[in-house]
Amino acid sequence: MQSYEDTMTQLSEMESRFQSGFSSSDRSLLEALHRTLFGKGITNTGCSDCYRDAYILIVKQLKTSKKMPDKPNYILKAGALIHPTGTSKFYTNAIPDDVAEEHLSKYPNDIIRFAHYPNDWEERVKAYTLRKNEAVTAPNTSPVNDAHNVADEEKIKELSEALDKARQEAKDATEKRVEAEAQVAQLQADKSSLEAEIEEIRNLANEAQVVNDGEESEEVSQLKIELETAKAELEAAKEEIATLKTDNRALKAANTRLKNNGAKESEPKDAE
Amino acid sequence: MATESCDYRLAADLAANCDVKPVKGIKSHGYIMNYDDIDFGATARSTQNPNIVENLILKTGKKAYRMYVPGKSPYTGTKKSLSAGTYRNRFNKDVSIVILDNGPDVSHNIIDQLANGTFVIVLENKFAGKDGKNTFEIYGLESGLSATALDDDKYSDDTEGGWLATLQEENAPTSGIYLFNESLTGTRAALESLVSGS
Repeated sequence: MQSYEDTMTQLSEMESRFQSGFSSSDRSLLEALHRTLFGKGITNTGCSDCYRDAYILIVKQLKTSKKMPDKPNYILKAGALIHPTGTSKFYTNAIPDDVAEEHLSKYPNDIIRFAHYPNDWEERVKAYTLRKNEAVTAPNTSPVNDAHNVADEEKIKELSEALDKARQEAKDATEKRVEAEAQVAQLQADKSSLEAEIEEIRNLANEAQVVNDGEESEEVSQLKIELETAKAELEAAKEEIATLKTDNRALKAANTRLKNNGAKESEPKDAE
Repeated sequence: MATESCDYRLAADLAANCDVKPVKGIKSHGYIMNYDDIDFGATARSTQNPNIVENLILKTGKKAYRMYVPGKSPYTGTKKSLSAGTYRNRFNKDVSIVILDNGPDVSHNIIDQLANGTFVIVLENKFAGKDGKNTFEIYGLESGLSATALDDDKYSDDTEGGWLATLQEENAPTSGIYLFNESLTGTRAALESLVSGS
């Protein structure tokens, strides 16, 4: 590959032929430079404008980069093709180092298909094979993998602790719910008992009223007072039951949430 | 050295292809390269069928050139025919090319070279065959194509003031050589790299 200065000098000389038409050697140079700079030949070579366009593109690119592009390590001869097994890619001309070295590790005799390759290509292929084998046999021994493993272990520990905490909270909530349900049952029993007592008092009051023809005896008054007291107690019991029911529903909801959270947090740990 | 005799025996039925019906003719685009630019050491034939070339490779720094002949029947006159020999028969392969252009560049860069050089041409058959292996056919790979006629008929309606070139590969031992590398896609990629050079 020519130096940047030599190439620019040649392009400057060609400028005088820009209007009149490039010579065949000019066209060959432009094609080669176009391929070197853009990785492909001049698309359409059947017209003189195509070469003028290519000339402008090449000069602009070189003036911008101010250097010739780096030459690839491996370049195939014209017509040679490499098709890595298991891929749909076909490589011609300049090919990446790893593709070339992978191919040469399997078919070293194919070096005759290369137009350009490093002098130490055999050492490079051996090194590539060694790297590949190491990657296959010990995929987790690289520093990157070690760092990943440490991070994963810390995360697993954190998740495990969070899961234990959530399980304990769920257990406490369950115990509270059972206790609240027992209290509700007790209050309902008290309510039934009070209702029965009130009914009995009412019956006694009615009987007393029938006996005294509408006059309220002292005993009836006493019973009415007791009745009112019992009613007040009943209302208080009802309110307390309602409050306990509300608390119970809240505890049930909290328990469900905690169970769900515990299940979600346990998933990553199981997957690990 | 032990005496060896060649064994010429048929190996398949002489049958028509009923699955893919053949189509006569050649497509408009082709490739031409100098015979001496071919890297015969790297060029490989198929081990299954030696009439298939899997890699047609040029020497470092060399490149092929595109050909384009428009029309419904480009490269008219292209044919292969038996050439009877005293002891063994061979094949003559003719390729006709029309160059619809003229002038000093055409004369210098193409005609003068065609007149005295030896070449290899790849043409694309319209009939690709059942497996696509009939698509690209190589002419001149064994003996090389050389010019037998170069005509610039100024009043020709066919060439429109351009050139008609006829190249022939004489006494080629193989009736047909085909270019096929794994798939048509791979073969086309390889052909494009012939034009781009190395």
